[in-house]
Amino acid sequence: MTFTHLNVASSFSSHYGTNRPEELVAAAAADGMTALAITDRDGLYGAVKHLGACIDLGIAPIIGVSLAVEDRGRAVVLASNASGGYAALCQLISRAHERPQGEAARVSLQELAECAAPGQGEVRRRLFVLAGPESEIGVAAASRDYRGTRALLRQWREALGEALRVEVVSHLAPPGEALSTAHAVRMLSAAQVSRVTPVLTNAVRLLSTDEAATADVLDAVRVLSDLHSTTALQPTDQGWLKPAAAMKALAAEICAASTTAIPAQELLTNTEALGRQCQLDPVTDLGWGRPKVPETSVIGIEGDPDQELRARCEAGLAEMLAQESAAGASAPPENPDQVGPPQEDPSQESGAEQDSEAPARARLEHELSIIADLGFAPYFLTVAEVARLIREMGVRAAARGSAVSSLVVHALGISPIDPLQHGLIFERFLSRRRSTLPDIDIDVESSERHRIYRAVFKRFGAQRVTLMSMQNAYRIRGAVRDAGLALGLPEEEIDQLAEIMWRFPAREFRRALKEKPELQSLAERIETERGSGRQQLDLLVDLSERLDRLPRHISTHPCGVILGNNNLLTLTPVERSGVNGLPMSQFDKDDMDPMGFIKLDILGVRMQSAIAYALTELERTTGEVIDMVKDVDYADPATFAMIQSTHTLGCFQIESPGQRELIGKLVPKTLNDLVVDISLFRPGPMGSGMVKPYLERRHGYETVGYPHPDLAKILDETYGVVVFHEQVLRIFDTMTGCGLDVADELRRAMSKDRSAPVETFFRAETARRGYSAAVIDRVWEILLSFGSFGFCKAHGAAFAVPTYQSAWLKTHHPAHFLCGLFEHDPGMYPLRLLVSEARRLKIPLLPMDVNRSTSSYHVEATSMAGLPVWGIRMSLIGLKGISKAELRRIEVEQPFASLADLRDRARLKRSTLRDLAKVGALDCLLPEGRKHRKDLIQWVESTNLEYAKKLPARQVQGQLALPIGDVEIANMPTGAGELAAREIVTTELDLTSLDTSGHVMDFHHPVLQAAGVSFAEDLLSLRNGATVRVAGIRVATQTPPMASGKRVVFITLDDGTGCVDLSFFEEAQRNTGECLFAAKMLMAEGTIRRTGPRAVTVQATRAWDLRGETVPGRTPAAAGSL
Amino acid sequence: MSTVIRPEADRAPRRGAVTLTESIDIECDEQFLPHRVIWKERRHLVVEAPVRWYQRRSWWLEEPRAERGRPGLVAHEIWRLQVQLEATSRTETAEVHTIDVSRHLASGRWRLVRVH
Repeated sequence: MTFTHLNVASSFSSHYGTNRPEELVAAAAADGMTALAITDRDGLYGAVKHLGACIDLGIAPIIGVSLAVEDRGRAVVLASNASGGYAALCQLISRAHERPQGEAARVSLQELAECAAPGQGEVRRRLFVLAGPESEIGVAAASRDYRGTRALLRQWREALGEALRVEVVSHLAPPGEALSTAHAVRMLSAAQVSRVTPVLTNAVRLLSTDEAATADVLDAVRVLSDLHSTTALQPTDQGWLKPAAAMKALAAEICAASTTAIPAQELLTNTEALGRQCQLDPVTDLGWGRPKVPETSVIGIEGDPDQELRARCEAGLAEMLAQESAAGASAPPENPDQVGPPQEDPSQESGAEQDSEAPARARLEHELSIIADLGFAPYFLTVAEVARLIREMGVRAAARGSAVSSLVVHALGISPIDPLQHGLIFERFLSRRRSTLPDIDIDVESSERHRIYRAVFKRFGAQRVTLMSMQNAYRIRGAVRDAGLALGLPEEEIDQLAEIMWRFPAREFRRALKEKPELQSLAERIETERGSGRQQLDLLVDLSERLDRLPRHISTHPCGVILGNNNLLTLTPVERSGVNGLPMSQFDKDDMDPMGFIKLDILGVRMQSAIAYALTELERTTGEVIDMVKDVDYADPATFAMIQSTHTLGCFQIESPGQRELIGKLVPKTLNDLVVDISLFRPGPMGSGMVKPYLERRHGYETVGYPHPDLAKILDETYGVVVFHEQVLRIFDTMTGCGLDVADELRRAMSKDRSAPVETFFRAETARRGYSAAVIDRVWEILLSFGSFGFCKAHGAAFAVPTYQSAWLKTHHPAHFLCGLFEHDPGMYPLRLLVSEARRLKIPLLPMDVNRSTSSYHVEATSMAGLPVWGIRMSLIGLKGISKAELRRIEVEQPFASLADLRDRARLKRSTLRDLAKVGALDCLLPEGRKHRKDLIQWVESTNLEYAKKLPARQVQGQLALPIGDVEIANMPTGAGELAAREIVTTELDLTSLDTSGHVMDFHHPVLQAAGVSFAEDLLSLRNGATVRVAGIRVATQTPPMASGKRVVFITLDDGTGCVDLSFFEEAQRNTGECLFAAKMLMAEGTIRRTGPRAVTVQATRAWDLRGETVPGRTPAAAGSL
Repeated sequence: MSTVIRPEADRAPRRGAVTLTESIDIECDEQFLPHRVIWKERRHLVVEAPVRWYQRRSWWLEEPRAERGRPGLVAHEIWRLQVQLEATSRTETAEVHTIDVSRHLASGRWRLVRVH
């Protein structure tokens, strides 16, 4: 007889279990077990992975949960395979999580009993409950309270009846302690006396004893303690997935020690009997793999969904064709290929317009027939309904991802991109050979995201919708922090250590110590400390490695919304999302396909919000209303000039240092160039070395050639270089005749390192079709090197539109655009760099002003050198410590005539008043403004709070304050003098994290001067190869993938005149050491590299912490000369 | 009264090898249960069923490293044995000693932990 483990926590019991469900199932199968349970703490987070692994290895899955029972400890609850068993488990767990925010999940014994009771017309229990060592019964037994043990067990038996089992566990702890064999024996005899069936488990949380140290760390971290002071550690390392033989021996050991006569065999038989009642069938119990979509009746469709879809698509297509012929010469954004080269060919263009109907109709038929075959029409109709909802709410949206390849998606109005115009292939998105549910992604304004989610919940009904979750796993910095916490390292030391770690897998920590230059001094320190007997750092490395990739906590996925049918909540437990309080599934994205759940990605994109805000501000200040689709020229020379200048900070997708460098080299002239640019700047293309040949050919340094004339048409748009997945598909299709659906399968196989069978197929088929061996070799080589790295053109096309829109706004309405960026902070850079960019663009930054600033950034008419310009008024929201209520009162009561008036009506905390004074927001209420700011600050600080309380009560509404001058100001002592510029900037930084009136680099002027530092604005005038020193505050650090596989670190510094992009190769990384990732302000030395007509970067040779002692310019000796 | 031998306390913490204060030879039966003990160069028989448990360790203080694959890092197995000199075990007057022994997982060697 085998043994079935009924209590098994995987690593999805965060800060408790140590192994993934797949590992546990594999071990069970290897031992010949026929079933295995997963019973994670508080949820089914690992259940779908468990099911998948069980199906793969042919063992029966059992699913349960370990739940807190109100005031009664913890119990394991298993779903029985009676009808409704799994649904009852889901509902129980969801109920356990229906708690106010911050409260731990739990159920009452009564709720447990209700959920466990048989379903209607059933006799079998839906759930089984194991009362084990962690239950109040087990706790009483551990403290030898025999009477209490039995009394409590009776209470549980009364509530749960036949659903109850006593769980006997021994982790072989020392005699007398909890989880000792004696403890197990007491549970066993309590069960016998109370006539509750006992079962044996091993309360598994480890795959093997080897993981016990990891569990110790997790135990300590769970209670935010260190290993030495916590009492939460497991008593022994015996909670592992013991083989059946060991469990049988354990049963014998426990029963032998028991005074009541129960044969070990009976205990084991009970356990197996329970296990059999809980073995689930993934298909019948969970609807495994069967797609579940909202019933079409929900969206008002009574007839055949296929017919409905066809009707809607045809209507959409007709409308588009009508618009197209009406539009005439003006090119809408979805027709970028018509905008300029390389497809610029007027004769072809007009011809294409004439003929666009026939190919479009054929394409629509093709797509609709595939969708009908797969039965996905309800899905497309559902997504169309969501898109309609979003449009109706007046929210900006853009489709993204491979769905953009579909004409159906376009015709339904989900995506603005016409796939035919871009040569996008439907099979890249969906085909008869790919029956997994397709992903349709929609980007919306980030600030409207939660409102949209609520609308979707409302539209489809809360029983059909939940948000998707994601598991956040340990990565290097978190692992170091928690390992450090467990070892009791001082917090500052942990902070310093975590800061120098930069994006390597935690499990390779020890290897990284040898290889990474920034870790060299840490490696040396470990060596020294090892010599002097301090072993903590060595342990820290080992423990960090152990923590790598373990799930830490669950959070709301940034965009996934699950749309299901009426039964959704019987298939997934839900808990409250920490972000917006909406229900969130305990399943993550990998669980969607197996469960047949449809996930719609509604991603909040800050850039969409920024654009929307810029347009609103434009309308507010000028009355001008711009439709970004109809009113914008997508071939605007000024916009492309701005893009080519690489001053693209703040523009969607093209603002990173690497992208700015690529743009400088690529010199985009058309929207299609942007599609290529965005597609090239991806890990795959950058890593595969396709960028260089593309650029060389584009600029005519290399001749464009094709391996075979058949491929010319396919590769023409990228000068013969394979960039897009679509090109790979067409090459396969053209040369082997395999069809585009098979072609996409071949491409996928290649990207998963399964290219051998693909090669066999390709060579055989192409040879049969008469291609020469040389051509076959050449094309295969290209496919192999580039094919798996390419980028889906549909993605690039979808991204290029908002990219161009942001660039157009930046070119033509810079103040409004930057104001939108300030408000929604969309990019990779901190707000302070955007402030710098505003400064560079000579956009006046208007300081906080209690009479003009609100909780948003606003464009304001002002003047500069006597000329009217648009400036940006800073928002009060940036002031630290100001409360929402205070903000609201200021907004409502503005403007204020005097300080007394402000205090009276806005009712601010004294600290808020003081800070407003400090940042100059009250200058407007002072005679002579800023001159008396210091007096005001001192006065606010010296006036005690009593005074504020004694202020007269608010005047009766409608009664006006007497205009008797500002009594407060009259009483204010003067003579404190003026604030120094440095004080002002430091205060701004402290209170608003922004240096609005000056730049923080100004304070380092002596050092910069002594070291002979050059500034960003001057770099363009330096010759290529010149040696320079630069300095600034770090605004971005990146380590993009490189063709060579070697790490290059890109650091962007802001020096007040603009930003400097630095690249650090290996040698420079070594020379720089720890401060490479840790220092906030850097000085660097290197050589100028011109990367394009208007672009320059600095290839660093080394860098220093600007505030460090060794930085050149700090000491005369170190200053040196360049 | 019991004498406690604490191998950890007087062990130099830096070295990887475990220093045994007192090693002991134990023969096990077919069920891997201790059966005969050679202690102070004399053969003893285990006269009662042994009691077995696991004792956890403060490995973060005692071990220089905690990488994966280090057996017995967190806990070690302790056996409490009732032993009697084999030569006298059949006589009623023979003294029964209670000893705790532990097996080092990596080397398989036994050591004496405590004499009661």
